[in-house]
Amino acid sequence: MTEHDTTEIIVWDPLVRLFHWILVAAFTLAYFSQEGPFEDWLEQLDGAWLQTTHVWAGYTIAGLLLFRLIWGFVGPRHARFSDFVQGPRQTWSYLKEVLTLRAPRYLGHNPAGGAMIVVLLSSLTITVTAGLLLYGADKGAGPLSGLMMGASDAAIHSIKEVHEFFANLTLILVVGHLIGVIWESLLHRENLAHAMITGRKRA
Amino acid sequence: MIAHKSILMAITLALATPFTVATFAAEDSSATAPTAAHEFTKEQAIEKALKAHPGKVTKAYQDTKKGQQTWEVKIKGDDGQKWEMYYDMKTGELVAEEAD
Repeated sequence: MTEHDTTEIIVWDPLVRLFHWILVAAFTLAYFSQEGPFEDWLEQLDGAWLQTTHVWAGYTIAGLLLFRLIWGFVGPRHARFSDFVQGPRQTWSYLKEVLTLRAPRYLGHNPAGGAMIVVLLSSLTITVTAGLLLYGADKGAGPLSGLMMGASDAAIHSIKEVHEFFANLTLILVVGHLIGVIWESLLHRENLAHAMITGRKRA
Repeated sequence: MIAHKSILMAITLALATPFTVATFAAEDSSATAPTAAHEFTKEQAIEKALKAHPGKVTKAYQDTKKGQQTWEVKIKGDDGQKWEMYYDMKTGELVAEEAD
């Protein structure tokens, strides 16, 4: 084994890692504090507590999205959108290489991973925006209550549908993201989940 | 360079999560703050909701509905339908009735 094989460098800065894992926790809390697969279990918990948890997890996600947007322009190299956002042609071509096990290894996000980040962040942004609109219209609470008070029941119903659709879409995307992480980890024989904890990857 | 990076990190964080959360928290305090003595109790709300939709009460708690402080009563109806009933905490008036 040569020294070169074991050299590791910091790829993910501390804020990107914090962002990632707080987002995982906040989305999990937000999703599962509402009706979902654990509905029977949720019945045992206090409704007001679940509602507060859901709203605060949503606010946390809103803050994280705002942070990531800024960090995508001013953060370190591998955190920047310019480092990993590529056109559809490059993304599709990379995906084909992934499926045929010929995909090259990237130090930062690969084109498919970059596309997944953009889609995930967009889906979360729509979910959070619809959630804030819904909170204002349906409950008459939150920062958008002044704007949304007086919304019709039909409008509230539509906003709720959008909120739920994109929350579910985000969950599906998370599954896709996990499959991608496992696939790439096996393909390049490196633990990408561990790299998101330590920030280090093989050089 | 390191100092520059640290300042940039601090500014970015200050702009993002804590600011957002603090802003929303300030605007949100009325939604979760307990109200004064309720003339219409949670037990009365449950009783009223069960009369309208017999079944099993899965939850009953204080919630806001269109800016009003209400008791939200969730029922798994005997008819298989789930209901969410909202009663004004002061008057006991039905504010909203939703089938899920």
